[in-house]
This record gives sequence, structure tokens and C-alpha cells, in this order.
Amino acid sequence: MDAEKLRLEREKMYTDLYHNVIPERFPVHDSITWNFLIEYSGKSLMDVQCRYDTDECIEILEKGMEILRGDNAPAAGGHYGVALMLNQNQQSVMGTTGMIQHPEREYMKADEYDAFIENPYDFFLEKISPRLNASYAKSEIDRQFAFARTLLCLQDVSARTSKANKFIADKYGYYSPPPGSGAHQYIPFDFLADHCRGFSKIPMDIRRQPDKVLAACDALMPFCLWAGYNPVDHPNGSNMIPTHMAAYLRTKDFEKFYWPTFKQVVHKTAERGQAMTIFIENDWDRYVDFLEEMPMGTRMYMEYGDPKKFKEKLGKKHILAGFYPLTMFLTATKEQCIDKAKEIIDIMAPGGNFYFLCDKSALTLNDINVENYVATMEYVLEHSKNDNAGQLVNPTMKREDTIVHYEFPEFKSKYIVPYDEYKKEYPPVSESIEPYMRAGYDKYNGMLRLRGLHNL
Amino acid sequence: MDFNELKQAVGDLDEEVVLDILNKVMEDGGSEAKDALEACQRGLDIVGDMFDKGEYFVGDLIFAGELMTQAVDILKPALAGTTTESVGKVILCTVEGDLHDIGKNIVRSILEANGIEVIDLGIDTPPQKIVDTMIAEDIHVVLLSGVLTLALDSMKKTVDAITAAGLRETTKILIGGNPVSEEAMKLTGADAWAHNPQHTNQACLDWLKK
Repeated sequence: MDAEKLRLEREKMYTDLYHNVIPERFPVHDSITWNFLIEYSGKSLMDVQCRYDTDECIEILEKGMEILRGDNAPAAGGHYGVALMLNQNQQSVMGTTGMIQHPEREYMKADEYDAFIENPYDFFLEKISPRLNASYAKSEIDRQFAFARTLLCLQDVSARTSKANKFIADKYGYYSPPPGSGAHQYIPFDFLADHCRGFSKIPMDIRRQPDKVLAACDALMPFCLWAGYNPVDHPNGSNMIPTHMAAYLRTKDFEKFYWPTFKQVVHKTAERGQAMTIFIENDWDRYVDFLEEMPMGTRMYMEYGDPKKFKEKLGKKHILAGFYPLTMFLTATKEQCIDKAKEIIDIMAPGGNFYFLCDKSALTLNDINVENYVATMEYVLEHSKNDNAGQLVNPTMKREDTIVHYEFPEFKSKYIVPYDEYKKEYPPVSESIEPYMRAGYDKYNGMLRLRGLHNL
Repeated sequence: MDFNELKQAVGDLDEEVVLDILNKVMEDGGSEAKDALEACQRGLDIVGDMFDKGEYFVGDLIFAGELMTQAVDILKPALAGTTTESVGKVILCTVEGDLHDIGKNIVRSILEANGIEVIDLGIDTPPQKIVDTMIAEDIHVVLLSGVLTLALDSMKKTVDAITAAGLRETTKILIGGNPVSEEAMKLTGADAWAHNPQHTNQACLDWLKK
């Protein structure tokens, strides 16, 4: 099919899905990572992640098109080995097979909560960031240079991968949401656990100093909202929320420590018109009723759990995906793989609000049997047609009525000040250039917020 | 001393009560330290049961591991020189290509609290390093941990390397972590699998006592 025609079809399909309308067919997403595609092309995972040459990325993606069948665009990108070297990143580390992972470490000590709570972002920059990035822990000048090198490097590689990704998207008719309509959305408890205290330390804190954990989550709210900023709010865009610790907590701990600020972040982001996609890590069967409280149209894809329970409780309100066990492509026969897909579709697809995606994505060549994968994806595509296309999924519910409004203090940091304050230190020589100075200040501050957060 | 209370306090993950009782045990130099340690071990059985029942989760296991490490540290001065000899030695590691160690570290705490000597080879462990250590240390129980799906392939390669070294017949291998299952056990050629560290502990005790 003509690429532009296919792209328009896909745009319509996603726009319907995201606007409470049953599309002609449900979108089918591939569950294949960029890492997998590198290996599938026969190239070295380690080397490619340190090169990111545009032509090579295109070559890898083109090779991947042999097995990709989905509606979502494959994309080159992820961690860049050279950038990790430049800031001496301690949190994202390359293993001997080339896979970049996040070893468990403690970046904030148990007795540092008070200082953290006072201003999480300032504390993060001053104390945590140099622990996350060893090259920032040297002199002030070393830190400036290391940050500049890392930022320039990431800008450079981003330009190269974007070019490759656009080439593939245009050639094969993939739909892309409007530029600037996506961001990474932190949620307070996971930010505290993953980037500050560590997965294995937070269980101590919720028993030994529960009030401080709660205060830290509350203090993180303005920061998380600020950091989840995206320049364009659009219903077809998405802020990505990868949940982490929730499933590893007792329900009463989830309810007390995790849920309140998680819910607030999602509602506050929905309030400004932005959509979100939540990856539900592990099994949230016992939290389904909590998820029901999220704003209408929130996208959720599940790793484990009971698909029927999720469909019954959430299917009229939220857009659901996941549950298909990726490991089946390795351990089961082709027939069993297809039967499982049929089972998931029969439960999840009726009535809309569904797209197909596996519970996780293949990381390495050995994760799946490619033949089983392709056969199953082709089956799913052939059976993706919806009955009642064009009808509303939920004719009685309106998204705005499902959004709870919360008030939070404005984000404040001594390192991120408004231009009016900044210009007192360095005023423009003439009022005529003031608008340029202001626009420039705001633009680069905005870019720093998007680009530089992880590297600060 | 009420060791039932200690057992239950470990089961309840009540750190304050556990430490209080253990410190009292040590007031006379620890004449009942061995009984106290056994009560803690029985308390871990309660933790394991709660995990199986879906009342405790990984976060609680992490805390249980920390609690047992503290318990052993408190009792250690009194246990040295008593009859609490090592039950035996095992190798524990996260397999090649995987850098995750939370599960591995929980298992280590639990095994050590049960008198098992753990040779911890750390993360991202090449199969040959495991084989070399088995030979050097004369170890016949190997515990392989992993979180990523790629870990299954590394587990299989490790089992193959143990077989190739002629050690498979005399070795018991258990795999643990998020991606393991009955199917994964068959795929990798291991002897057992576990999500629950108490099950790992029990398997080790059974194998080492044979």
C-alpha cells in the first residue's frame, strides 16, 4: 500500500482510539526493542550503541522490517555508550553483552531526607547528581565540561537517530504524534526509589521513617510536574509513565506511600490536556480499583494479571494493552502462540479501547523464536477488525468530568529562576532586545528541562 | 526467653521487637544465641509463607533479609566457637549479561542466616568463572539469579558449561528471579526454580545434607 495512504489510515485509527471512538481495527504494536534489531541485523550491540551512525541505523531498521508487522514505528535510540562514558554514569551501565542496565545503588543516604524534603531538585543537583555521574563529582570546572560534553554528544546522536527514524517512518507509512507531544513523566515514589534511595533501601525507609518518605513524595510533586513538561499538549501525544515499585509493596503500603502522589501527577497532567501511557509493571490485579480512578482515556499496558478483570473494571474508561506473554514465542509451539493471541483478543478487543502489545519487549535474539513471533503478529493483524467501528466506546462519560483538580505549590529552584529575576543580574542594554533575551532564556531553559534533566 | 515471640516478630517483620529480644539474649554473653538464631530461622518460614500467600511482596523480603543480617551480626560473637558449623557451601551469582542483584542479595542474607556458606560471585558472571570456582572450592550446589529475559539464555549456557566440565552429575542447580518458571527450568536444564527465597533455602538445605 502507498505509504502516505497507510499513514493516514493509521492516524485515523489512533485518533479514534484516543478519542473514545471504536476504530476500524485495533492498532497492533510490535514488541521488539532496538537492541533486538541490532542483533537481528548481525551487528555488534556494543559497537552500534557507541556509533549511532545514521546510515547504519537505517540499515538495521530496514533489516528489522523483515519481521516487524506492527503499526508502531520502530526507532533507533536509547542509551548511547559514549554519553555514558562522558558523564561516567553510574546508573546506566553496559554489561559484558552490551546490554545497558541499571545496577542497584544508593544515591541518597537514609539520613538525608530532611535536606531532600526542603527542596528535592536543588538537593538532587547538589548531592545526588554527582553520585549518579562520577565526572560531576570532581571540580566545578570538570563538572561544567563533563555536562557540556554529554549534552553536546546527546544532541548530536539524537539528530542522527531522528534522521534515520524519520526516513523509516516516511517510507513505511508510520504515524507519529505531533512533535513535542511526548515526555517522560516521573512519579514521586518511583523517583525517590529509583534515582535516590534505591529499590533495596526504600523498603527500610517505609518502616523506619515513614513520615519522611511521605513528606519526600509530597515535596517531589512540583518537581515531577515540572519535569514532565512537554511543549505541546495533544490527545494523540503521550507522557510515558513506567511504574516500578508498586507491585513489590504490600497493598497497605501502596495505598499509603505510592498511590496518592501517583494519582495526583496523572490527574494534574491530564488537566492540561495531555495524555499518558502507563506501563503497569508486574501484577496489579489487587490495584485495579485504584486504576479505575485515573482520568478517562489513560493508556495502560499490563505485564501480568487477569485480563478479564482489567477489561471488566477498566475497559469502558481506559485504553488497555499488554498481557500477552512474550516468553511464549520461545517456549511454545506456533499453534499455542496463536491460540494465546486469540484468547487475549477475545477478552480485550470487544467494545474498543484496546491495542495489541505483549507484556514485555524482546531484548535479545534469544528471547523469542522469530517464526512464532511473525506468525502470531500476522494472525493478530488479520483479526484486528473491530465490530461497531465509529461508535463511541463510552457514550455517557466525558474525560473532563473524570479529572480531579489538585493545587500544588509552584516548582521552585534556586537554579531555575524566571527571566524577570534573572535579568536583574544581567539586564539588556536596551528594551528593544529584551523580548529576544527573554525568549532565548525561556527557550534554552526549556530545552535544558527536556534534554538535560538526566544529565544534571 | 520467649523464642516464640521472637519467631513471630521476625514473621511480622517487627524490627524493634526482634532487636530488643536479641539484645536481651546477648546480655549474658549469648548462652541462648543458638536457640535465638533458630527462632529467627523459623520466623523466616512465616515470611516465606506470607510471600506465597500474596500478603508479603519483594519489598518485604528485602526487609526480611536486612533483619536477618542484623540478627546474625548481633548473635555472631556468641555463635563463634559453638556447634553452629556451616551446613555447606554454595555458589550464588547473577548470570552473565544481567547486572541485577536485589534478589541475589536477599537470598544471600537468608542462606547465611541458615548457616549456609555463600560464595557470592556477584553480577554479570561468565559461566567459566562459575565452573572454575566449583572446581577450586569443591562446590556442588549452584544458584543462578537473573531478572531480564536474557538471563534464561545465560542460565542455559551456564548449565551447559557445567555439563561440559563433567560436573553436572554431581551438581544441583537452582534458578531464581523474575523470568524463571517450570518451563524456564526445563529450557535451561536446571534442577529446580524458585521465586521465594525460603524455597531456595530449603532446596539448599536438602541438597547439602544429602
